[in-house]
Amino acid sequence: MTRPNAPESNVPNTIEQDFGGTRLIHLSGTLRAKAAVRNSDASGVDDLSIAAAESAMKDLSGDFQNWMGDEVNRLVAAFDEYRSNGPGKRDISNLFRAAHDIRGQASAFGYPLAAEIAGSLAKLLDKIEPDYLPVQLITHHVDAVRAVYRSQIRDYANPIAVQIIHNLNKAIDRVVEARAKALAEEQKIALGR
Amino acid sequence: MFRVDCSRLRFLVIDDNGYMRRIIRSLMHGFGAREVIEAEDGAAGLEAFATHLPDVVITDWSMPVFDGIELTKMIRQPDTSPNPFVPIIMITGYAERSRVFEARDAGVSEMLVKPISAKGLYMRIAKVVLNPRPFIRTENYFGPDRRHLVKAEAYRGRGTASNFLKGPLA
Repeated sequence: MTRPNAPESNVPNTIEQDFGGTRLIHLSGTLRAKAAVRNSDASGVDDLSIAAAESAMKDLSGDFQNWMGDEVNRLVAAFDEYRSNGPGKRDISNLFRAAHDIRGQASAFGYPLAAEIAGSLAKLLDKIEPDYLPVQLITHHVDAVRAVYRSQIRDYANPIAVQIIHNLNKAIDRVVEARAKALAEEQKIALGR
Repeated sequence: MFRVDCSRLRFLVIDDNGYMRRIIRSLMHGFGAREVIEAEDGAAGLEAFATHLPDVVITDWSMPVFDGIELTKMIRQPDTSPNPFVPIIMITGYAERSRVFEARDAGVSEMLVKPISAKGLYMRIAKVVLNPRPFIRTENYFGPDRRHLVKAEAYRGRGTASNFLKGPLA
């Protein structure tokens, strides 16, 4: 990256202090000078701006149902792609990204349970190497996300859904723990040679 | 007290997910921002950063090829970056303590764990504009002062099924 002819206003003026090998750089508050305005509210929180942003988000919410459907379809397609490749050739990147996105967004779309299930799947994919992943457990997660969406389960009032999530979480913890133990054993054997 | 007039600032939003970009853009427009530039991955984000010189960068962590951490490290290169001091707000699904430290060590200014809220995003913007941390330059690090309280534990277990379990397995 080269330094272009940047406008002066975007590069802060600074005061620098040296402490041995450490230099402390105080920014002179360029952004503050540019954008800070006095607020009558002593808390410093701009309630009007926050309310306007919440209202903008509400305007978008009519699309959330379709967006969630698209994300679930993406997860299912990524899982099909993962499953279609044989052991040794499996690529989890698309599946991980799809699960990770649902983990991050499904709560905003009104599906917090789907977010939690996808988060647990993302954890599994993140912690275990592709060839050691239990396909059956991934299938359960993908099916659970699909079921939550299809059945419109939007809160934690459904005891069966809550129990299923709990069981999936526990299963993942067991798999992650067992793999960590196996890796430790392999390392011990390798060091012993 | 002060508030931030977002209409006076230029924002760069980098996220590979189009829906998330749309949500962030809507929130930013709600805050009054007029200039919200978007990029769909780290490489495009870096290019947009050099071209548009935003006042604040809002980036996702997990992106294909070039993620938010690598992007942050590139922006925090003091000798080559157009503005190594730019505030970087990282929006992420990762709440683990180790991830928070990784982001901090890369030079991220503030983190926001998904799901994002209007208030959460506004507070991060207000923090980096009104009360920016000083920068530190050592042999191995350039970025905001890392002596900053990390509250990763606050996110742990928030809104998860285990809080709602009843019965013997709870």
